[in-house]
Amino acid sequence: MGKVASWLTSFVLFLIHVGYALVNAATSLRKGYCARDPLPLAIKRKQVPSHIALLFASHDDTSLDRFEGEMLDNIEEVVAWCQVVGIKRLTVYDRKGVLSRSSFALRERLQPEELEDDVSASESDIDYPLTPPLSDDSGSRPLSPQRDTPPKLHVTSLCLGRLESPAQATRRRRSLTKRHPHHKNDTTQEEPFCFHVISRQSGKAAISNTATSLSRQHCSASHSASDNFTVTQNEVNSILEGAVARCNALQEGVKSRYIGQYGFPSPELMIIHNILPNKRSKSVLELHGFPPWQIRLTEFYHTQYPRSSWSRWRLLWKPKYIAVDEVEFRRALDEFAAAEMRLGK
Amino acid sequence: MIRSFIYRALSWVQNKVSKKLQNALLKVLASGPIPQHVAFVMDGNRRYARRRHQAVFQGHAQGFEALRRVLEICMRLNVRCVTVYAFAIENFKRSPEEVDALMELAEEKLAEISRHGDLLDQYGVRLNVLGKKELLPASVQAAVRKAEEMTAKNNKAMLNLCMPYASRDDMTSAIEASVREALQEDSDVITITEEDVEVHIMTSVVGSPPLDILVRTSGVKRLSDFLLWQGCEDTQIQFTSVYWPDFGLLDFMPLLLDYQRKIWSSA
Repeated sequence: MGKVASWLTSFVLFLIHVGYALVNAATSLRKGYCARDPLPLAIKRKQVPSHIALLFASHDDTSLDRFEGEMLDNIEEVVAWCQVVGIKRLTVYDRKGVLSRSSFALRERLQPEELEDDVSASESDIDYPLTPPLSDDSGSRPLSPQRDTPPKLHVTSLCLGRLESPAQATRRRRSLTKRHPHHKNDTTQEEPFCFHVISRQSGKAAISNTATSLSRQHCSASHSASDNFTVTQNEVNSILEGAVARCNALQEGVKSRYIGQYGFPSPELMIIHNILPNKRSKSVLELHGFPPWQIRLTEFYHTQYPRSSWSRWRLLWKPKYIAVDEVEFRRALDEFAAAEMRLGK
Repeated sequence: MIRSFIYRALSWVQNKVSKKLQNALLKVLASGPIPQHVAFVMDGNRRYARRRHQAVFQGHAQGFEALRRVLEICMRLNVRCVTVYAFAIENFKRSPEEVDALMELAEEKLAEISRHGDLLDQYGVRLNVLGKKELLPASVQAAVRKAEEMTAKNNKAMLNLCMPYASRDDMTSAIEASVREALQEDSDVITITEEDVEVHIMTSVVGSPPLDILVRTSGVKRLSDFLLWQGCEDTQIQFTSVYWPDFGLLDFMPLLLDYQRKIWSSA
């Protein structure tokens, strides 16, 4: 009797799953055909993120290597869209670090024409290491007088465009009264476009490296008991988001395109994009190891019913790279514009 | 009078039948893979109340009833660990009246839920209150201590009540604790790994398993400083537009089915 009951419950569960799969397929169809087109790229939106993150997700890590070229092509397109909308900072993530390894290639692709004149002047001043600088390197810039061993944060930052002087920055800030999408005017040309390339190592590993660095400093600075060690959220934040170090770099007026291993700030919007076609009609959001510190208030955008599912039978046999397309990007911006930010209140 | 009697009788039958159906459905769902740890951001209490032209504190009270309901569902499904975001450190910014009302509700419900014979006792659930408890009023801290003591011996499941919690505060405390631990070791070269920090994360300290599903209600699509460390790997993050006080088994079911499909397809 027990066996029959258990067989029966399993069978009913199976039927429920069949029903659920059908409901998802129907929803996917409806969303595919009936979904409204998102607003055009350049239109004025209620709020536009100043920093977007793009998470290239895959259930199969080897595909990240396989589609490296396609991801780089895709990033170039996304950068162009960001510049149209007026988004000044883009972070790209893949779990394995394929993009981090290609950061040199990315810099070459993204180099705008205006910088051609600068190349000879700044090239000699700057090092462009392909691998991150060692944290114990005596040449590394100190974050503050006491902290002279910056932790390995595994974040590669690039800065594209002319950096403004502190006076220019003050003038720009005075002229902007509220945040709004940039139209084609002088201010957009002065502000640099910042680009961060990160991987899983930029997250939990960076946090544990921060802990290592803090403990080594405490050890060398004062040989007192471990009990009086304290650290504040702001201190940790300034290391992981790199604010202090980036400020130093900018104040020194360095026209560098490679800012170095200084962490990255929190993105306001994240687009989680599956690069492979989905086996099922419905896709569930996962973060694939994205750095936890920076996603405190990030709005997530994820396509639950990807259109690719309709040709997935053909695609499953020979998986093709699914690019982030402009429609998805515009939908993400529309959703962000409609989001209400209460900040705890 | 007869009409009201018939109506009441039918409601009673409907409740009994729906209760039986619900239990049968739960048994069916429990025959498949079940997540070990589910977390809920109980969002939407105030909007729920406003929509029904009620006072905000009534929305929170309904929210507590929803918590009871969902907790019972999870227990019947054999979910070992449930974590809920009851109050964020940021929420202290709300109006003093609302904060006071929430603190009073917390004190009252903590006592209620940990009473002998009530939900936690019934299902052998140990209560852990996670967060910066020093920020709570003294009376609430006392209620917390009492509730934790009363349920300390329960070992079938656990309920983590995050109050007042912020994930960045959690991670900062974990960094601080891991540094102190490393300094005590007094070795020449200190290296702190991810696992060393992980051990001091609040949910790990109380023995919670890895997070399988994180649910946020009311249609908001962000984590708002909740379980960032725990949820950034392969946790399924589910956003549902239902307001928390309305959340029930039929809303939870698709999330469970998604989890089961994930487990079966990776097997």
